[in-house]
Amino acid sequence: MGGGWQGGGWQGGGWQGGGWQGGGWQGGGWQGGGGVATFAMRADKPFADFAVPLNDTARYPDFPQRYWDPDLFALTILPEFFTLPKTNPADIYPFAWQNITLLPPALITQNDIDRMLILAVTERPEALGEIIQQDQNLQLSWLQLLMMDASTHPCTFLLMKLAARVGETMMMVLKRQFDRPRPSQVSPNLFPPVAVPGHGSYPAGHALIGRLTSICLDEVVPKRTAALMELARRAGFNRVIAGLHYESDVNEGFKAADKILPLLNLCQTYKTVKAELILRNEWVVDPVAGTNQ
Amino acid sequence: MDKPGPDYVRVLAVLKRQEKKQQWLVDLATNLVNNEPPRVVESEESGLPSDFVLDTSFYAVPLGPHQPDTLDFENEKISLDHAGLRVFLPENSEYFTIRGFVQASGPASMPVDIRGKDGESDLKLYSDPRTGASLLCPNDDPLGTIDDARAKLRVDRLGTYGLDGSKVAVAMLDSGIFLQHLSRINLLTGAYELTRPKPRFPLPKRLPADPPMLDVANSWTPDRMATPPGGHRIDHGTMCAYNVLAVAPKATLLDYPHLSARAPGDHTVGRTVGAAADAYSKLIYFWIHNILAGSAAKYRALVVNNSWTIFHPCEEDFQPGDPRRYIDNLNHPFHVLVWILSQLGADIVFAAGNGGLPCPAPPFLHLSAGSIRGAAAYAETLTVAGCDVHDFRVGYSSQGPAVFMAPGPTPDKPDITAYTHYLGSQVFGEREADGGTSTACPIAAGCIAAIRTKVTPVQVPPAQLFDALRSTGRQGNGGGPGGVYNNDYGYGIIDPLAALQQLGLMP
Repeated sequence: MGGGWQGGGWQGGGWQGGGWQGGGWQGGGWQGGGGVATFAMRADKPFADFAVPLNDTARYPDFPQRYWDPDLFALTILPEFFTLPKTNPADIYPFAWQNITLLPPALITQNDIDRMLILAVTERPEALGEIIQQDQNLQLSWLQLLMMDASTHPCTFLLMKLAARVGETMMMVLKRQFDRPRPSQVSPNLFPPVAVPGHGSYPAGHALIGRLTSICLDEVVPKRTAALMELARRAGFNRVIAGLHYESDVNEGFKAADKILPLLNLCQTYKTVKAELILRNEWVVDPVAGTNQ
Repeated sequence: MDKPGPDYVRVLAVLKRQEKKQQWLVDLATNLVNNEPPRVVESEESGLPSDFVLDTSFYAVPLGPHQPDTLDFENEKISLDHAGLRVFLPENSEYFTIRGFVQASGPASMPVDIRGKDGESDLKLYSDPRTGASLLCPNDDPLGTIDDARAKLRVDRLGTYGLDGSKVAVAMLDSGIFLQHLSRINLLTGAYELTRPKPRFPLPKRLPADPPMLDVANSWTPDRMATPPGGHRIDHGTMCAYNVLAVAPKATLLDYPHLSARAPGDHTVGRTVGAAADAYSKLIYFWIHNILAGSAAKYRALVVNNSWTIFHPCEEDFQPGDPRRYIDNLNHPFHVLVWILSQLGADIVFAAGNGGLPCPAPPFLHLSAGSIRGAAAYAETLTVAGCDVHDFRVGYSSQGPAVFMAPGPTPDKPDITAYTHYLGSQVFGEREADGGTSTACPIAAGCIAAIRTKVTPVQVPPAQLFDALRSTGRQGNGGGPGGVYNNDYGYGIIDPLAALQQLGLMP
């Protein structure tokens, strides 16, 4: 099961199928199993046949926050993000997101392709494991880096989901403006080791979402700046090694992420989750050891 | 440091130190030679133009009194006395190379130089292209073994004459050395593995208490690299070290893993000529102090092994003819460093590259013309092609002529040929060859280390020794006569004993 935002992720995996533990990359994705979760009950003695007193604690006035699927919850930020008014009066367009623009990509040169061919020969064999792992489960690497998941750091986890949803939508909006061909269209012998995604090359989505994830987390997780930035760079450059992106796609993906974060910080849902994260002390610095817990 | 932004281009820059000001340059150069992390330099302190963002993860590399594009490499000489040497030490150097970032949409839109407000901090910019190990050769099975190569080189006779590399330092500019693989010392037990030798062709027999020598104190570890000298990941550098010791078993290795350097502001493939410049700076410093020690000097000679190359001109950031280029530009600051070290008496050996016909290694992208480029095409270096143990040139060994160097002249390259593509170190597996001109290069370096056991660079300077090696080259199988240049073998297959005889040092 895929999860995430590429291909099968949001059409079957992810949040339409077994997304019962944070969708895609928490449940079936990397803890084994996969597919739609079902639970058996024998027909001759159905559970409902037993007289069980009502659970008083279930009489909530609302659906408990902790039961929300983070993937689905994160979708609710999109209307907020895409209706934010422009922040700079000098901007051309009325909505803030419309003013996140990129210059058209440069023409693809033989040099661009040659450098990628060298990387395919020299670096890809060693990088292959990372390339495959990050292809569909990008933010997993960030969970691993911070040794966290939805149960240990629920608000941080949700924050990552919010960033991912906004990032992937902006990425597609930007990609549609340019439709830059994938490197392997220009040079088929780049032959990427994973499926070529069904959208244009510019800007690079992994770079955009990786960088956005890192800079979002850097605002709430202390003392991990260098590692977070390095991971974003690494994930971005792995896509060049894989023959899926030009270096310029990755660079522009990073730049787009830097423009998205200030707007994300203006969204009420994002602010609420961030405030809750701080309230819960999800990343408390140990005053003695100086480490985060 | 982090790259300031995605639209910045990495460059090397040369600047002149103003009359004892800019102490930070001296400090960074001193950090480098003392194996310390580079100290923090704030932009106010550096006084550099705002258009240039200093890479604080890099150091400063002293060039002495020489500005690259005004130096007469052919006629200028370095005085080896106390005063002549001290001008290259960090505190006395007039010019420095630093690394940084310039905002530009691409290399083509970058300035040639950046002028400071006061005219005192003008920077001349140069290329810092990516580098790679020159292995990655076609996957043919090994032909013969290291014992065949040793027999061809008459290493036993070298040993009989005491030509074993004693008191000779061999700096391995490579990916790093894993010493246990060479020493046969079991990593876990510390025991000498007499009964289970790996690889199958161990180094020349030595006493268990007399392991291969590595000078840790005079080795160098790039900033942000976790492993110590002699403890690096087993890879290309270990293969090269094995082959030096196969010819000169008592040479002392210096571990300079610049190919494993990673600039944090860059992506995962961070090795560049800039990292090699750091390594050369440290080597120059080390060797000046060795010379200044006079009769108490630890080493009588320094050999520098460079089994690395630039795979393809696409790694070059600038267009042909641009004064900032590396691969064909004698005015690049890296050439100044090679020239200084050569003038100081170091024998600098470079792999020719694996871009030859008919079967160039894949990263050369089938561009075989001019595949000897960059430092491998300098007059000061001995450039080594590869042949198998039957004296046939290996099909991927880069052929001459070298890339045309501006402003010239371009020397005949390769200079010489040495053995490769046999079963030796088994670093890459039990049945995998030590291949590429990467292997031929340390074989030649080992031969030179053996010769240097008896001949100091004061007696026979590097240029004279290289001349002797060239003129005594043996004819290869299918090649032209030895001692006469041809594009495939250079001046022929290296013959250390013949060179010694020609120099009048052996009957």
